[in-house]
Amino acid sequence: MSAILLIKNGRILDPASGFDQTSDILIKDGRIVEIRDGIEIPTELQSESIDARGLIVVPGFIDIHTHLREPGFEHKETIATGAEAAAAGGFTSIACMANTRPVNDSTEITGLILRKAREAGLLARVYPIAAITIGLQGKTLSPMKALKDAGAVAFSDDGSPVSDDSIMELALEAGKRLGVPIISHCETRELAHGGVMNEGPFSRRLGLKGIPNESEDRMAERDIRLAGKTGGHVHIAHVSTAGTVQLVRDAKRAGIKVTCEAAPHHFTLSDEDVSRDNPNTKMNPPLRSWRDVDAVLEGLADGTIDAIATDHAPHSQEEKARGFEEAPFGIVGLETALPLVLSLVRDKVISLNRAISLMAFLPAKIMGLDKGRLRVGDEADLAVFDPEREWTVDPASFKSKGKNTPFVGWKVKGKVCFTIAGGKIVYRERAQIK
Amino acid sequence: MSIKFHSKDIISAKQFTREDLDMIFEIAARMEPIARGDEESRLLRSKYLATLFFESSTRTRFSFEIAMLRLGGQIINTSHVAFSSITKGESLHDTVKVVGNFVDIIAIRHPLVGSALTAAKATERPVINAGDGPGEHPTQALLDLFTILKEKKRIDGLKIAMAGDLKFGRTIHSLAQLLAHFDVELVFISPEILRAPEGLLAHLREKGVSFRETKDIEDGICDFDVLYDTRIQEERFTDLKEFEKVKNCYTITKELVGRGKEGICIMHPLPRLQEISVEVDDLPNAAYFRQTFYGVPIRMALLALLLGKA
Repeated sequence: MSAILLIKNGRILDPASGFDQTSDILIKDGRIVEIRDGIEIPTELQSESIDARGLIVVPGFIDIHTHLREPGFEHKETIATGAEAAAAGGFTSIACMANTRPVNDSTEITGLILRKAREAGLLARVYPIAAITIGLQGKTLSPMKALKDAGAVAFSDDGSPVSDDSIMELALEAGKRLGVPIISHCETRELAHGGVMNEGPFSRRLGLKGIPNESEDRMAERDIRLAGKTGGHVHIAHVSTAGTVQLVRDAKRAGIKVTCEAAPHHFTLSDEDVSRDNPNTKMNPPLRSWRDVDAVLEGLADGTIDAIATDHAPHSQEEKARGFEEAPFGIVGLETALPLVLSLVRDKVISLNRAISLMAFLPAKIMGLDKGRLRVGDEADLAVFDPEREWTVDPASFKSKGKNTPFVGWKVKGKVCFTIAGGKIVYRERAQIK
Repeated sequence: MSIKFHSKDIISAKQFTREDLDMIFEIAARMEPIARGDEESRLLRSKYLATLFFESSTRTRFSFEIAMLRLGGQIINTSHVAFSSITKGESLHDTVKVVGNFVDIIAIRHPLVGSALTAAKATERPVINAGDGPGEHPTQALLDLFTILKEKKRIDGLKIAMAGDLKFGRTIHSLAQLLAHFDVELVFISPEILRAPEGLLAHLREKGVSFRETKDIEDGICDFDVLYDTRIQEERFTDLKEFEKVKNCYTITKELVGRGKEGICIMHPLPRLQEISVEVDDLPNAAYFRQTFYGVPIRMALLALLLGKA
């Protein structure tokens, strides 16, 4: 018997095609089969129907920057809990970084990640990002061709910048041959060394060692130069500085193959929000100045920034409780991304159409995935959300094992009601259960 | 982060301890570059301040509003809008209760003594007294004290003279109360009919503050570290003949300041009329315009504290 799901009377918004109207979507055997008004199905057929009146139906979100921590750090997150958190946040596809233990620098680990994702029941599709260099050591390139064949969609030494120019150049050349992006975590080690927050008046006031903007800008400049030289595609992860936004803007004008992403915390918070008492305001790159926040917002609006990615980085409460200087970098992001992005729409920084595009179609394009749109015949990966629903961020309700969010207690607007992956409802907001 | 003031009200200068003052001044000092526009802040973004001013005081209202805006907050106010509910006879209690449902914090100025307390009781939101008639004006007292600290780099050990209308001048009363927390010597200079009220003097005696009274502004001027002058307020007199007799009893001139102690700090809550000659403005001793500026970081500190963001 075929499984049928009908979503009725929702505002269907598909930025890729420009479709934006109240209508119905019929899903059969995991695929979208029809989008039109007034679809009716005989009730005797086994089916489920979602009343989406007042809700917005969009392509499932695609997060190209998550840390799922498995293998090796299962106390922080597993692929299963990470996928569950993704579903709760409206994400139907996530790409996970290679800094696991062992590092994802071998086809065995790439295969293991894909197998674990299948075992978790495909709550969200998981796309492994493999390491650029063996052990993230920055010395020897990983077997990139084999890794790509095993399922890796991109390469990154996220968290450990590739300092050696010649290695980065080789990686970009290999990436070009394979048709995959090289994702760069832009950080200049000797400038960032020992820093725990943005360098500026607030780091001086708090007596914490700063990480200057220069650390990111200098590496972005190098990576863009190498991308121009090799013709490879460099994707700059989590852009946080005004300087890097401008470098990417200029590089795009010059025709260099560069894309970049921004994380919700980098366009919502600044170093003014950093408190010694709150290690959940510690991440890398750090929360920057308001000037940088404004530059990131401008980049999101004018097209310089190509995607919103969460840099979901779960840690245990014990690890985060070590005090600001000792606590590890990073915060969770999958379950709070949507309302933070929607607040940009309310503040008229970007349109709703662009917001959804930045979370689905555009990140898919960066990764070379034919996803992030609502087309008849496509796999039915969708998110259905209530843009007006207010809720209070409470980490206890997170599906992620990581509770490390700086947004605790925030009253936010916009809640995912249903997430549908491969035609199956993989997340249903409690209040929606009838 | 201090929780002591979170969601509390600022009603009276009497409510502060020495520790409170030290903390407020520390935060205000941090706020200074933001108040000057040298640093940007959005500490109070998404927070709203209502400035409910039932009598006009442009300087105080601007100072509160710019403090909120410089911290990234938003303001709503009663300027340009006839206070319709008030003209319709709505009680202060009801007005404040309604406004408290709209905003996160309220600064209120009202001609009646005790109105700030009435307002504070009407709403759960923090209320700051921005002057309740001849009653209290605690933020003025804090900014006065902060000015002394900024100008003289200390408060303990100073000799501070206050001149003018000591009877009705609420700024003097509140400032003297705050100064009682410090090791200072006070000199009250006024005509007989405008002497500081006995209640205030008794309070100072009880606190062990050493002070003396005089009618002559030149009496001991070579010893004063600070000379705080106030306007003799015509509106406080019922008999205008009495006012005429005393209105020009003290005029601070360049010549007078020259005879004072080196570095004497001249303060005034403004507006000033004839009591300080304009020629004094150019002297480094003239602190009164800087004094009004210090109201901004002080009010920023209070807004941040009451909203739990400091």
